[in-house]
Amino acid sequence: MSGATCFVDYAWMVPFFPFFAFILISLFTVRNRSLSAFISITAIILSTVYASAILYQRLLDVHEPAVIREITWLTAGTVEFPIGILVNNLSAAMLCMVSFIALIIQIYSTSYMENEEETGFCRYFAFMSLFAASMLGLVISPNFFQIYIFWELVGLCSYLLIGFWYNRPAAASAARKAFIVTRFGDTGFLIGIIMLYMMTHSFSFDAIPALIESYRINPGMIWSIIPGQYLSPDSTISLVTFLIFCGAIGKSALFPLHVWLPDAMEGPTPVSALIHAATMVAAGVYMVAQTYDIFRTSPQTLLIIAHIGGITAFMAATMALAQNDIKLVLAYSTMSHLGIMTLALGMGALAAGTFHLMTHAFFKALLFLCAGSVIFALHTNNIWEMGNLRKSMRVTGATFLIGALALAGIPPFSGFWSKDEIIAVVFASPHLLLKILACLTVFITSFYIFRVYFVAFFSKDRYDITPHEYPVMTVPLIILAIISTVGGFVATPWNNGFAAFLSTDPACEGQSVSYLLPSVIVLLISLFAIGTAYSLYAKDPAHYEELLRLRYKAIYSILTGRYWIDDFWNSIVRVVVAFLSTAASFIDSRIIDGLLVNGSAHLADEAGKYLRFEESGSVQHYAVIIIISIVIILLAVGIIHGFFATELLYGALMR
Amino acid sequence: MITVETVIFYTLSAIIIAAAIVVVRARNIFYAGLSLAVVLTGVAGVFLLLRAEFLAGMQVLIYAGAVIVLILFAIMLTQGIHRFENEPHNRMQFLALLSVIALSSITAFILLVHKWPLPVRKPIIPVWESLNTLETGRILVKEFALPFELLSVLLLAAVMGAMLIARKKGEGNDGN
Amino acid sequence: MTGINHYLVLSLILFSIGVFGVLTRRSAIGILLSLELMLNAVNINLVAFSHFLESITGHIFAIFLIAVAAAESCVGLAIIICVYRTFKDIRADNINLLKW
Repeated sequence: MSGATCFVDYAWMVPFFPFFAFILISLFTVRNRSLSAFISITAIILSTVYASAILYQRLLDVHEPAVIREITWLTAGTVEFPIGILVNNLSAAMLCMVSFIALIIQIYSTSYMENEEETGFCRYFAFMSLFAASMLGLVISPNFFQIYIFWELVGLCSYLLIGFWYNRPAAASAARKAFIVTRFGDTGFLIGIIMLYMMTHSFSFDAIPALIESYRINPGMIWSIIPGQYLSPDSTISLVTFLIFCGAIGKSALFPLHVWLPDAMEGPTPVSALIHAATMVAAGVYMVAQTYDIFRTSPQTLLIIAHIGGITAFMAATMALAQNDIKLVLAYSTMSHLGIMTLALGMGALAAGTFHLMTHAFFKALLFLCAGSVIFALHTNNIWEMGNLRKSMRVTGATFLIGALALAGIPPFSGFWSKDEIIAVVFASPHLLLKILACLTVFITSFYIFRVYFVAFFSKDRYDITPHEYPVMTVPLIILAIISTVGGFVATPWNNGFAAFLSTDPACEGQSVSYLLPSVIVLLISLFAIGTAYSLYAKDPAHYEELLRLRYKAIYSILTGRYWIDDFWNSIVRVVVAFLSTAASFIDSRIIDGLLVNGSAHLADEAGKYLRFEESGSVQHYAVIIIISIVIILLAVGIIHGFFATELLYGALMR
Repeated sequence: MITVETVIFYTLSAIIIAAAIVVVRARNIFYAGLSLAVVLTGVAGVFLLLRAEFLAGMQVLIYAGAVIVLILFAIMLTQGIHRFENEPHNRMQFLALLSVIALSSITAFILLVHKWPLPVRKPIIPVWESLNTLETGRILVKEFALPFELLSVLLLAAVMGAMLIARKKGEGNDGN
Repeated sequence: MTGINHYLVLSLILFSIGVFGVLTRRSAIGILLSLELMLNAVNINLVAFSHFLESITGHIFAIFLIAVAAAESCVGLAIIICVYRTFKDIRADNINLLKW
């Protein structure tokens, strides 16, 4: 075993290969397209192989404890900042998934981005490598300090890649918006990490749950929000875990910090596939899953998490209904599924939520890549400018159908197995609101995705160019489609291999009692939705779309206005920015420039103007000033040393 | 109690102070010079009161004799007599008066309040019995011999310097 | 009975009058005269202390002071003559080339 354990110890090599590729590309091969792509893809292949090896090793030692190696990197007084690696079953699976999907998408990108000029192309691969490195580093982080570092790095890569076509103002502002909105969440995250450290004096994931329990019994550090009233240990724990969850709210685009995700579609489609569907947005969910024992200490936070997830899932699904841009539909769909994953985690179904994360990554990446293929062929994102693509782009049409079926949760595709576990857990819980939201979401999900399918791939064509498919693009599509088809079988209700793999203790999987009934209900709802979509959109979609919009005008305007949450955040930001900039400019121009700089110059000027009259040239004048000065000094010294006062007490002054 | 000494002291003081005021306020510089002679002589009298006979003699000889003559010569050489039609004093009067009064009152306060550590005085000896001149002479050639010699060097330097400064331009090495 | 205080006050008054003269007199020679007053006041002070402290050192100091004062007035008058030749004027407030 010792030989095998050795290579798992070097798990940090997995993010290292793409990072090294980033350095190489950005320093040396910025002008050479094929070399840059070659370096980037080679690095990610190496990472995939290594990650697979690690996964295989973990499969062999399923019941071995996690491999954690940490060293202290920085110390500041008594605070130690550790870095290291964490290889448990969850992180091994995630490493494999992330590197594999990154590989597929990079291969696809060589064809999608071929019209870019050199520096753009190489820059793209550099950033892709950096992103892969950051995400893989995030996955193997064993403590909050390191995960925060990679969290920010991933956010940076997202900024760089969304704003890839930086000459476009829409892309630039979308990148900025993504960065700033996730910053809000990250601020909460940071405060949570700091408070957690102050409570437990540790950053490490494995040490903290026990330390929280000891904090609950014997709190060393207490806070108060209202002066005079201190928070109880339970409230503090809930607050801290919620703050940590704030990071996930921002990064995983959950309500209310979801506003950046639709705008992020300004980036190239492979970027949307990789970052905003499969990996980065999953980072928030992954973090919650990895640190789940910490969240288990606070049931209130878990409840909040579940509700935020449910609300996001429903809201996003409704907004997807009203979109005409294929990428936006998929973006809202991602948001909705992230909500579902969060819901699962809030309900306690750790394995279910994580499994859905894995399956969703594959079929969502597949859907995005199909969309990319269509966009590349037709040069438009608008579904009303597409049609009948299943005849002209066969592979894309077929794989998109597979992806849509997986999304809608139809067996035997992977989405069915993962989503139904979650639905079963929700139905087994006492929350009525969540059950209703879940059912509605299932209907709307199937409806919107098949709306897109029927409008874009069925009916008549509404374009005049002949679309072509390209093998470099279609092969990745096929690979992903195969995985979406068979991947679900690792976690069937009868033999939940994934859950068993994930945890050595059974967690809350005992809720899979009434698996059958919810599955059937949900399946029926989905099929009904698909049927509705078919009847409306398969033959004459434009007509029915018009009809629906006119009929449900109010709802439609709410949906296209995105529930006005965007406007809410915009107005807040505008007020804050306006205030801060006014204050800053006032201070800069009036106080610093006016008072300090100009004022001191003016003072010197005026002083000079008046003091120069003292230069009379007359020595006697100077002598008078000297005498006066002597008098003043004598008086001052005398008074300070109490000379005059004490001598007054003597009385007799003259002899 | 009022002794002869006291009377003499007050008289001398009155003369000195009156003459000093004339020195600083006289419009005519020549009168100022002459009043200075009176002051110097008065100071010599004070020296006598203080049993410093040798010093009194030197004061009269050097100060009231040579220095006054020197000053009067300088006055004549600079024709200063005619030049003061109006105010001989500059604009500073009031301010100078104020500052001088302030300075002197503070100093007076300090001087008078302080208890000087004086030894007990022997009974007053008459002037003709004081031995200060003998003492002075002895000290000048024993302990203060070197400063005495240096003083003569200083006087030589002063004389040479004065000659150098005051000679007319164009006079080469033959001027005195 | 005249004690040291009397002589000190006399010396102080004479000194103050001298200072006033130095500050006020327009003519350079007038300043020199007032300067002599100051020096004499100092002499009175020295000799008074010498008398009351039973020490001869004050006398010696006074002797030296007289000699130095004589030398200084000699050089000072030479300078005044020189200035007179240059400016044709010895009024202190007119010799003000260092004015602003």
